[in-house]
Amino acid sequence: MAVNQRDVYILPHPFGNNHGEPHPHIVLSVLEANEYENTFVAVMITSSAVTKDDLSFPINDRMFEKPLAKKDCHVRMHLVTMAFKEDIDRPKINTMKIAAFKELMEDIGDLIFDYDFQSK
Amino acid sequence: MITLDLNSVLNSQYRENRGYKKLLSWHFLLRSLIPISWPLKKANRKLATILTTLKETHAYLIEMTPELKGTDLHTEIRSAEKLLEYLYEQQGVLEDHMSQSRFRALQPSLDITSEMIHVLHSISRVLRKNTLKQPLTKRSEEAILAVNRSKKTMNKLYGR
Repeated sequence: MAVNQRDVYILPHPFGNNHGEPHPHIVLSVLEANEYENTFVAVMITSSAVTKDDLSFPINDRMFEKPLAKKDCHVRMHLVTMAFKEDIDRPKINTMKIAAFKELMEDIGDLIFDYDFQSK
Repeated sequence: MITLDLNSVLNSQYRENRGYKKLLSWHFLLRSLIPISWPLKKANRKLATILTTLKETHAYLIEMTPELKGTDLHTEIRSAEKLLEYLYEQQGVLEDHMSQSRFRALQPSLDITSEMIHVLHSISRVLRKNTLKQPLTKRSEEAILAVNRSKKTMNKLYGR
């Protein structure tokens, strides 16, 4: 299965779904890197109002190819995680549009790494 | 100390959504009756003025960065978020119409709107980077989950 940059997957809780709610994640890494060792880097989406803060990137339906399942979602930009492709237990749920993804990467670069992630 | 009401950047016509609605209705209702290039140009001039104001605001904020650091800018951040949500909605509506050739004349309006979104994201970035950070009271469930996922992946990688 090809895991592409900008794809959105719901990743199960690392210790099984009984331990907590699975969260959607946006894939940040490119296909070539994802194919290399079957790992990929993704960032977490949540709809929790409690955790909305200065490191949140608010998202809306228009930033994605399909409407989001919940309202008032945001990306927790500092929660960048690494996962195996085999951790994915259900099909892709969405894809982020290019323009919005570029803005997200610029925000992650600037606010999380103090680094210029501007795309070529 | 800065005060920035980003919602006032959009004039009332656009804030109440009449401006964007007009852009589309000219095509639906008036295109066959009157030449629409003049009102379209006028509308785009208005949008371009708003874009210029946003660019000036961004430049001002960059210049003011040392003074912004540690100021509570959360009102401004919320204002930028609200405006972004509104503009994304209008951009989406315009994009939905672009598949039909009779709406192609709206392309400049869409281009200006997309640029407004880009500049507004930059403004929001400057504000969030410099605002007074709220002290964290409790580690979130999501943070624990994210760390555990990475830990599990790393352990599995080493165990290969």
